[in-house]
Amino acid sequence: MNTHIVGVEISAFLDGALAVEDRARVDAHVSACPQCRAELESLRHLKLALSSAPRRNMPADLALELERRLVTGARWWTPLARPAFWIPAGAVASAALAVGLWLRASAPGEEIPLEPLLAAHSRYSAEALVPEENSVAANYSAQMTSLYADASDSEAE
Amino acid sequence: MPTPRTARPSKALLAALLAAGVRAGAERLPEPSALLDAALAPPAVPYQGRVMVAQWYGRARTGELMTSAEEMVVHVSPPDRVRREFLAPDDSVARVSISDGDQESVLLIRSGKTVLGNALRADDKVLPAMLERETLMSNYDLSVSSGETVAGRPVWRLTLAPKVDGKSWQTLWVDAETKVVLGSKRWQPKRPFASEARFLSFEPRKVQDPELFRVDDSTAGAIQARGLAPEFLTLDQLRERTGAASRLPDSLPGGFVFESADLFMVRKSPIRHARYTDGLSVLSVFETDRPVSLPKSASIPAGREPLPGPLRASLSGKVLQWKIGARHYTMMGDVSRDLMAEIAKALP
Repeated sequence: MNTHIVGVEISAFLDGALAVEDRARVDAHVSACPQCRAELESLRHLKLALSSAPRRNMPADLALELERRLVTGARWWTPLARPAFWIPAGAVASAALAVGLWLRASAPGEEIPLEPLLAAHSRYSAEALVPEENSVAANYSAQMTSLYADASDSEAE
Repeated sequence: MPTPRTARPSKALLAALLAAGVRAGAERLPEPSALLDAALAPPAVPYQGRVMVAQWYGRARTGELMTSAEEMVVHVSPPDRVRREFLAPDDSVARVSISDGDQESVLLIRSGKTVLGNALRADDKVLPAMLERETLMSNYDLSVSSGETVAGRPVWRLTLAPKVDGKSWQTLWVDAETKVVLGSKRWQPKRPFASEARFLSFEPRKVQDPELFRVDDSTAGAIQARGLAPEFLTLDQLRERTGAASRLPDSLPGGFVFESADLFMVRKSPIRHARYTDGLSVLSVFETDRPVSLPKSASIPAGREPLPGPLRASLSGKVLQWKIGARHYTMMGDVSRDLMAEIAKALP
């Protein structure tokens, strides 16, 4: 049997972030290895639960520090991240790793959407001494449509 | 509770003064700053008309100009009631914005939702109007010409030319009789960015039904939009409110001065919004703890000055993003990429 898959790779696999050849290798290994499959399922459920839970924003400094520690710490903890270590270590350690990985993996999804900022800029532009009121009103109301519309606001084609 | 903004002199009074000035010398053009004041004053007569708005906002990856156009029907009743009906391509009404002077609403027809907020100019800004006007006069040269018509009516053409490279020019076509702005264009020479609004038809003194300007806040789909009720904070108030030492400066290159700040939340993340003005153009600088998603338009390459981060085009102006330490900055405005780069360099 191939070497067990490390936690980082399992997380990347779940996020669809692996290269095609790595994904095929992990796929083949997981289908043949019950330990790694169990680890994969465990992480999958944990990520799902975390992503649907209400979020409280972590201060940016703390998030960056955690991220930095996760990256710089990867070298020493990587060998420990094999299933042989994780299974006896139990759910707490698994959760701690998953939270860390989730923080990193979800970073792109955590971006602030641009639309409210564009709307705030447009709204303020209309307060200018020489406003382009009609142009700004057109932009602003269109941005409101984009922010608050539902499917019924889209055109048929 | 919004503080009523300091009353502006009426367009009727300014128009009378302006007319007296013009009559004094038979064919003399109006004095530019007096014409500007008359054009910016509240309307003296009710009117309605059809307006075409066109915008050019950069080039696509294919090299083609990105453009947008929309028509609207405008109803205005002095001093500050405005109704705009934005038309779909088939002339049906797609959305309606109404201001009764105190409240403003945007009705999204298809979904039946109404977005509510404060009316424009319902609150006092931080920078007094007189200082904002002085800022404008120190940053732009004004000139007037005649001989044109808009919607079949004789207009004065008032041009505001920036004294610094990289900023937009502004042209206003002011109705010679009513002083209503019948055309407005903001543009940059040799650059694919401009916005223009021009009356296609104009009916002055058309009595307007008061019902047209009724803001209905009882609609089931009413939403209190944060963006429609901006605050006007000083930098000190912003610092007190956030408890964090914001290092936003009082002025920026290109003649921009701090006007006011706002603080709001998006997805539980605080957004510090600093607004700068040169009297005509406004720049927004957003300070956030997380990155902001960028428009999907093609990246604008750096010019003479290196850019600190990606620059994209949007209908509301260029968007530049960069990061310093743990803070993310997003700047929006309609100045050139080189001036944007220079301004970004001046921020902490």
